[in-house]
Amino acid sequence: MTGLRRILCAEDDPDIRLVIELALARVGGYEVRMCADGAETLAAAQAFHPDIILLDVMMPGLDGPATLAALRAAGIRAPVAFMTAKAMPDDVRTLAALGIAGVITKPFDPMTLADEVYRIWERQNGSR
Amino acid sequence: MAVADVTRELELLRASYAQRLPERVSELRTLWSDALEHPSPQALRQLRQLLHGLAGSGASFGFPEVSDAARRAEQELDRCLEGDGALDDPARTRVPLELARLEAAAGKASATRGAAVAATPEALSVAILERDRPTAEALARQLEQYRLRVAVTEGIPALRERAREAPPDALIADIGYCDARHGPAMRELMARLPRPVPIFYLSDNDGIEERLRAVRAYGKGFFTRPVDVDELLRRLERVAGTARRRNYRVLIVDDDAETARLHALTLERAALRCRTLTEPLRVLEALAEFDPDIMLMDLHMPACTGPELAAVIRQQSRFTGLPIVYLSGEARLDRQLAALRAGGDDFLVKPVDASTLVTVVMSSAERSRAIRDATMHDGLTGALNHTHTQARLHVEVARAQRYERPLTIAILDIDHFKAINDSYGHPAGDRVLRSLARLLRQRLRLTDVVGRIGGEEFMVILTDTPAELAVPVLNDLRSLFAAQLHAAGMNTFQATFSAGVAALPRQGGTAQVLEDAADHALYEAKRAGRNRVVLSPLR
Repeated sequence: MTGLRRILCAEDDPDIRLVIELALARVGGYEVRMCADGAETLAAAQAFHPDIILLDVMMPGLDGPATLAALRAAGIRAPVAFMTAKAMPDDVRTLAALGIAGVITKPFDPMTLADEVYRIWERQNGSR
Repeated sequence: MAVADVTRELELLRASYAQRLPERVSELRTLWSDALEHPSPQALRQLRQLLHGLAGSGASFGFPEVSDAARRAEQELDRCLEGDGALDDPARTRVPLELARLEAAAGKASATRGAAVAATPEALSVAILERDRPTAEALARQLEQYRLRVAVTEGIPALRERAREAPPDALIADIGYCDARHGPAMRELMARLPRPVPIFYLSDNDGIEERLRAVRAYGKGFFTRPVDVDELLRRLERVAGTARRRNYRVLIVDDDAETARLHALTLERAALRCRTLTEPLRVLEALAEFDPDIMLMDLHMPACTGPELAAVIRQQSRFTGLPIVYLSGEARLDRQLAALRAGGDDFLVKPVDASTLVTVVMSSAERSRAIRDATMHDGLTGALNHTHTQARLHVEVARAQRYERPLTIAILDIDHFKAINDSYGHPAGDRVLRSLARLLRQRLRLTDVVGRIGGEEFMVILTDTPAELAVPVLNDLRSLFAAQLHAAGMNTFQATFSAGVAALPRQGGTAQVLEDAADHALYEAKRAGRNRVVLSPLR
């Protein structure tokens, strides 16, 4: 484990996709692969070797939790964080129970998103 | 990458998002009234999905009020959906309240000006006046698919009411509304509108009498039912769209900066775009870059006279059609005539009053634009033709380099087009070309250029746009196009396109280099299996 380099991200809203890509690739300097849905994420995860995976919770088709389950079933072990616009404490607790690295609440600040992802990744790697 | 660049790109995204907000809010409004009329958990879920998206995105783009209002409305729906799936009374009062707040926030956000990527130009608004509501609604749904704002009005009084608030860009009316009974009321209504609204009449019969009636009732178009929506849209865009898109550019050449500024101010107040130039010798650069519809020039300048400059400009075939209007204190008729002989079109004696200036400039610009439009556009698709696409590419490359702005182009080619023509016939192929051209025009900004450069090949020039922003836009266009159904007799079929994308390199790029790179990327896209967008490695 050398450091955080590759981020795979699933988000169905095209506007948000652009902002995330800008925030992580241009501001954060990470190698970012954006996917529009769970199925695409699943397909991309194999070849891309992400260091961390960000999943939007509410996506049509495979939603965040279903994508997480499918990723784990496919043997992908990278830490996963959820992104959600529902930041009720209950919701966050339910999500955390799924065994994830963190929850990013939307709307996020594009200028600090990269830092937030880094902190989640760091926390995960420190505990290993 | 520099922070300034990121901020700038964020600005672009923000502006693009803001421009589309009103459209989303009106979608919400429609869903909400549907949910009230035909209550179902499904309708509520659809509404919630849209609200959820806005709640999660608004503040990221700098519009926290959007997020807040959307979230509160979403929570109302959450509660109803967790209950028995029916709208409860609190939701019935609170959701419209939040929608109104959203609307206000969206209006404020979209009013902030800025460049936008993939923003849709403001949609044309159309009013429908039909004999029966279901027919009207069906037509409305079809037109809305093409992002028109459609209002179904019942009867002339309702139309009058609506037109008073905001006159539509066009009216679609049943031919019955120009008969002896309704005709006078219609004429009166039309006469009272602040600007003429083109009317398209729909009729069940295609007889000379109906057509005559339509013409006499100021009909701009006549369609028989079932309506060929494709053709109707084409006519709507042409008639209603041109009035909206006149964004005439005026180049003002005057060695006196104050005078130039004064004229620019006067014209800008009349919604013309102006550029002033105080060094006449730099006129060729300014022409290439600003691409004006009309030029306003002082007759006497120190470096050279107006007529000399006009003669130089006229030597270049590209500018032979450019109207040149002289402005001068010259009151002597013989000198005025001499100036006109050297290639001027009109002569205004200073001091010019504001309304004369605007009238002369507007009418010259209109004429020159009409002549250019007639010859610049491909007759089938309305896109720019090959020659003018090339000309625009050169202009845009020059502009991008001068202002050190990004520029990205794409060459699109419809996949297996020959097979489409062979299997479904040429008329079907033509419709595919037209629908792609329309999709491009609707989804891209007014400042972007769409040209048809070959049989089934289009070029898109995305001004002020880096490749990272252009590629997702093109991919969205690609999936939208692939999802469209095309009709051929009783059959429907789908078509796809491949695209090669290239961005102008920071150094040493030319129009040719850019086009070659996009062409090469297109070839790669085709080779990799078509229906995809490939970005050229050119940097």
